[in-house]
Amino acid sequence: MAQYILRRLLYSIPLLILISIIVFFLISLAPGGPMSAFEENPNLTPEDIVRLEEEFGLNQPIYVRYWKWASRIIVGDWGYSNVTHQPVLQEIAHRLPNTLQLMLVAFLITLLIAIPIGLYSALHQYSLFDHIATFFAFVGQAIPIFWFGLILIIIFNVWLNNPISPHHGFAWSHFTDCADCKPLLPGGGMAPYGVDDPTLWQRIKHMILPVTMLAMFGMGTYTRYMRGQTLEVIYQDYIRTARSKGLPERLVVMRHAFKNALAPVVTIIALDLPGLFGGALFTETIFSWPGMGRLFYRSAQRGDYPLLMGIVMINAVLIIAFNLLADLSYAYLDPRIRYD
Amino acid sequence: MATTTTPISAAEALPHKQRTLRSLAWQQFRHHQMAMVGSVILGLLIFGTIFVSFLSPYSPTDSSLRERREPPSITHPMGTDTLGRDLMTRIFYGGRISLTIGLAATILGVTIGVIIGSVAGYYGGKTDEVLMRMTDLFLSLPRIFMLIIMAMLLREVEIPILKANGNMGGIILILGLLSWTSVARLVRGQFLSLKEKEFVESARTIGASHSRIIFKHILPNTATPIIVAATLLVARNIISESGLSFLGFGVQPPTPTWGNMLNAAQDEMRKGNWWMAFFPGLMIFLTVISINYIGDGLRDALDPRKVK
Repeated sequence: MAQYILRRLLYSIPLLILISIIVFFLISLAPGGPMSAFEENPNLTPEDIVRLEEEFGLNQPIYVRYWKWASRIIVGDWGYSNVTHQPVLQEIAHRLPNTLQLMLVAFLITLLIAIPIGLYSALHQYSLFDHIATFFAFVGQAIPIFWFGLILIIIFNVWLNNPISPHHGFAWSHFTDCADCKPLLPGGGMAPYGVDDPTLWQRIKHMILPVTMLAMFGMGTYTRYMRGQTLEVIYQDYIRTARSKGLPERLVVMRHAFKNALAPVVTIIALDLPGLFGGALFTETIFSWPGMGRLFYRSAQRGDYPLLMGIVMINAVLIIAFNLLADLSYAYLDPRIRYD
Repeated sequence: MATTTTPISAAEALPHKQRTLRSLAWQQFRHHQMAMVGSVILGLLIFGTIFVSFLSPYSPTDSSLRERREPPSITHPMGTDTLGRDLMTRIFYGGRISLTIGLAATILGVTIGVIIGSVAGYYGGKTDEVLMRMTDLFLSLPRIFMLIIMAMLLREVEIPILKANGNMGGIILILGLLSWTSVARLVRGQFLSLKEKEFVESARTIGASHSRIIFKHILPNTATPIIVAATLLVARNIISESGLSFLGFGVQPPTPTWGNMLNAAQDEMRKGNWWMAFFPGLMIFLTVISINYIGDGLRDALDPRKVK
């Protein structure tokens, strides 16, 4: 097993190098690029710009620049943000835990809802429940999650108020019409404005809407996939054998069907991970959640190239790490697969 | 049947209705209720986007300061925006752009995917290895992050065909460049199994060239899964375009798309003007769910094992 992990880690190195080359070349195509901030500075003469370019090594050919950048990355020097002038790694390290927190909670909720529904749907194929669940899975797959987030804000932040009063509980106008009304749920941030040390309840309240939005990502896909995989499994001979030897239905389902159906679902989920990071980007942008996705969005708006590079690289590393994790759990779920 | 020895009359040989594969598939498709509903909704939407200039009394760009931020009413069924423009009219004009981008990016993506997939699957060996590693690489790139970086570059490029209609051409290009991977894998898999079949062997024996075997003999046999995958890809590209435009990196105003209308509605919605965000998103949702159901119906209809 250890050998397999090592081999996979070694295999991921060329992948990371290739990703970094692609992104580095793309970003250096950007006109202006790292010098655009200086070019707008009226105190600098064109000669100064040329001198600075030489100082930064920007007049060198691109492969030389890539080599220098890559060799600094390896020793942990990821450069400085163009805008805040903070080290890139530090900026990312501040936000990464927030993103992971959001993603992890949302992901667990998705699984806790999608997998049982998919399983139950398949075990009661063509029942009313199955039809309704399949329909909602289609709906979930088609809902653009950024729109879903906006709808959540309209309903739970703009329309519904706390305390719910007969006059303002469901008003078509803004909540400020009612003096003692506050929005039912906060529509942005991780804590109330100006509060440095929020209580647990405040934290949870701020998480409800963003987590709901992000949990929508993959909900439909995983439900349908779990249903499909269970249907594949329950007509297999070993299920019939298990039933015929008198095993209680609950054990047939849990011990034989569920585990075997789950294995391929894990693969799909792992393949979806880059998408989940994308979903987090939308969620963080809409809900002003101070995470990596929002940092990326702001950096893209400001043309902060060192940060953009850093975030893409961290993302690639995380995606590869999660994929490895998925492969290992696959081996756990499917005993036919042994990595040695 | 060809094996029967009893002669059959001309009337028996030609039934009233030719039961071609295509008509069988159509029959199958018609029985998929949701696919039919989806086709009707999508049909109406396309009809609306084509004929909106005849159907709507309003202009998509002329503002009317007296009618700003009006909620839905008889005269403005979906309300008006911050400049007093009729939202429904803008939604159908926006649909033109969104649907065109979804379709064009898919055509580009499928073309690239078919070429890469068929070359990899047909030639195998080193070629296959290199092309599939490249596909893996594209799959592990965080998609929306790459879209944003490419869209940033696009804003600086000065190529008229990419710049027209608020960067529409450029968005098609970058979506196409990032949406070929699934098709490439699919086509490769098909080629791997088909190239061992007798009909390919016989084509090779009579001296057909590689390109003839690829395009005339194998590729037509992979059409079914490609059609289904392409249908679903259109939906995916529509979501990607609207997401990118929602973030402000896609099609630029004043050219309306569903995505950039949502972007403009973000602040308004927090003030309670829900319709500006609700209707453009509803359109994306309706389009995508219709296309997904059509894809589902096509999959059932074109699957030869399912024909009754």
